[in-house]
Amino acid sequence: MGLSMTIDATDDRICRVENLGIAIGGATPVPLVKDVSFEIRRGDYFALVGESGSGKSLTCHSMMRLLPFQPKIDGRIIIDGQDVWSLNHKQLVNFRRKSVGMVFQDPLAALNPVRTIGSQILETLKIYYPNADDDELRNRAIQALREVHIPEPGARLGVYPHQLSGGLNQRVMIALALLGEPKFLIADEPTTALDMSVQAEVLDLIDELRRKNNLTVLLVTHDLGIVRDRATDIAVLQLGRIVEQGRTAEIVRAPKAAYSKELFEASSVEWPGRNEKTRKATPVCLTFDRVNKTFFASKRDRRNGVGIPAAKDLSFTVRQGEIVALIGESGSGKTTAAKMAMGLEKPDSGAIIVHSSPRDASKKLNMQMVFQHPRDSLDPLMRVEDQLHEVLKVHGWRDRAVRQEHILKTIADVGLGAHVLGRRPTYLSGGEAQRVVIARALLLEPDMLIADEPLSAVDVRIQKHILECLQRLRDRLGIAILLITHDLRVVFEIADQVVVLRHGRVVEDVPVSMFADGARDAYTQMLIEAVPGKIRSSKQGRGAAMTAAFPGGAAMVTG
Amino acid sequence: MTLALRILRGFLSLWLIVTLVFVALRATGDPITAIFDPDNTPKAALEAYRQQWGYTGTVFDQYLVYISNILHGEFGFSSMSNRDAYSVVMERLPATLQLVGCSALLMMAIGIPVGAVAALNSGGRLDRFVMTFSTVGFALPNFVLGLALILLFSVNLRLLPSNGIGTAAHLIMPVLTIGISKAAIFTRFVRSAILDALKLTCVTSARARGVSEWQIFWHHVIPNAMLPLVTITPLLVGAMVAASAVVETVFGWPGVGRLIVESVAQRDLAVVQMIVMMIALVMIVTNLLVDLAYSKLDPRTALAPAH
Repeated sequence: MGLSMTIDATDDRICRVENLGIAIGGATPVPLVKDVSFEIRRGDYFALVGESGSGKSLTCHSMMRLLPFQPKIDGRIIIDGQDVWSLNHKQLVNFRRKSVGMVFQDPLAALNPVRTIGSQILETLKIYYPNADDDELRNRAIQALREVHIPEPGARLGVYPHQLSGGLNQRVMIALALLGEPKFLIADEPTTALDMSVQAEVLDLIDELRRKNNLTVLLVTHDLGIVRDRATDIAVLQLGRIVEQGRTAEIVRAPKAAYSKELFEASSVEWPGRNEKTRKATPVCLTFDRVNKTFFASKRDRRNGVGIPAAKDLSFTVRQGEIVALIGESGSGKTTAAKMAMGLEKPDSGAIIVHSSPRDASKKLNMQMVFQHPRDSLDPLMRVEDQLHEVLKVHGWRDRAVRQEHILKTIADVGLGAHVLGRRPTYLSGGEAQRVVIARALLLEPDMLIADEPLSAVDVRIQKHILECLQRLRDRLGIAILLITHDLRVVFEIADQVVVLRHGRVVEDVPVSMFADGARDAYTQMLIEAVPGKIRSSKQGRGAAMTAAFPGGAAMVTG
Repeated sequence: MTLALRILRGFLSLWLIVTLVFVALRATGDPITAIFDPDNTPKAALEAYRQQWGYTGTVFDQYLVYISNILHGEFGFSSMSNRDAYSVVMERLPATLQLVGCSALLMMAIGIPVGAVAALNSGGRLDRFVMTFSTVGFALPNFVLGLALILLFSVNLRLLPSNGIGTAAHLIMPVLTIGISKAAIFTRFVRSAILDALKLTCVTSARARGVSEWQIFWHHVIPNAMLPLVTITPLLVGAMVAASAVVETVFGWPGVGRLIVESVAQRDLAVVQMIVMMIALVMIVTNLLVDLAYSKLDPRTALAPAH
């Protein structure tokens, strides 16, 4: 299947996976990956894509024999001329040392939290240079960190992983993976846990190392934007099977399998075509007027006034029937703003004005919140229906029949069928769960929704459903939505107005059409540049200029 | 939190414990009438004993006198031996500390390697064997284990003295009794801590780099597994002190465990208070040391620098 097997025997294929099957369990094994075959040629940038549960991580972990269980393996994996699953222990260790490097999803977890960066690098270096003295090892460690562009590499050796930012930790992880100078790098969702601009920097680094060290890269990702930008080849996995594979350019142009078609459509960035350069003049729902808020790590810091600013002269408004996207990277103050709007945090100074309801001036504006992790905000033991009834009961809806009718209508509003009502949250998909949470917020007929990263926990295709749901709420019910996100693709898709936060300050507050075409602020430009999956006019030029303006993920020393 | 604050908090706990015990002991009835039969003892004699042992006035009055005496380094008189409660307790304390200290070492000497072996063979025959024995170990009451040891080593084999203190041989059976029963629990904690540490991504990532299994175990698994173990150690030490009451009685070990049983029975309140205070002090110091160790072991929770 897939590629023809008639490639010349003088092998330029660094990796061959032949009819790989992975199953778990004893007497009646449960198959997780079925009949997966692909080949990676030297110099390729091969992307293994699919949604969560498609088996992509299992496949790449099986290539290093790092599965967390005793699997039943069918087929063969041949990397660098070695049949991975037939190696003995000694050969396997040697294979892991010399042939392949591996980078993991969460760099903070992949580094030992109780040991310094330096000791972890030195430990690995000793494998390769058993006779080297301490000075030489240290120099090599510094050199390795310099290769991945870590500023002040000497000083970094003495710090612990939690004292570095996610981007720097991932660089350390890449340096570690490449200490043995392997020719093949497996990167398992290397940027999923990182902010988007940091993500671009880390991916740029991998690109650079790939060119410089002649690396072959296997990238496991669910982000088709990244794939489109960088990968040379793709294999699309669905439910443990490959549904399509080939050169990136061809598949992007004309995906054949229905599933990959759907995936690519869902992940494409639609540059906003709307032209309104001005804002709608609907009534204002929420106003932030020069709001300030600073957090202090300790009482000592409070006394000395050394705090972390979460809001500095923060001013913006949300109007009826519009989606205002509040964007910025982690630590920029987005979530604090949402909490202050809900009254969960008190501002130090400034005013947060919640206006009267635009539908009935005599009533207070009704604001509801949707959280990031839908499963955490649903009670796992109660049926969906009961949870929804409970909300209404608390607010004085006595008649069960009336409640039921209202619930059915609301569930339909978010695009769900009545069948979800009888289920417990465990039996909902991520997208269904998030829509149930939205429905729960809608039950009380709010004028405004605050949604804190409602999409970050779900797969691309499901994101599409939720976005459509939010759009429908805005257009049909005229609900105002304050959407907190770090994903600019979401912004381009549905936002009307964009507010960009950096270190608690508003650096940009414009209609989305103007935002996309020519954001004036340098930081915003960098954010836009970092969006994967859009066609960039000039691929070079960005790296140097941007890194100079915003040195790559400056160290964040906590504690 | 700074060290000074932690020490202050330790003293606060100590004060609370002392106060609670003081009130509880006096709330359970007049100690004088518990010691002497009020119908057959002259009133004047009862009153004289009250004066002597400080049981006059309301509980609050007694409390104020008691606290002020403590602050002056006086801990009251033992009604049982008519001696200074302080010296009565202090001459018994070393024996208990020796017993608990040795038991703690035995607990770790058994628990860490056995728990590690079980974790590394998790699900295997060895693991099931260890877990079964662990269940038996902590389900078995201390006195049963103690009596069984006496039966075996003293009565049948005639190898070890069944009773008393003095030589290292005397120490063996009491330490085995406490150490084994706590090791049964500790082994489970070690096993699950190591199992959790083995699942960490940093262990997988070290393995992916080709770090040897030996180094992975000592440099990645153990340092991470230490963290939960350090947290529960003082709890187990506390349980050992509690167990010493029974074990010291079984083996005639002259420690505070036996003393507290006798003192409570005789309503020798000054001695009971003194013992509780000393045990509380030992526990508070243990906790403090553990906190300090924890902040050394886990850089993420380092104490705020005290500058």
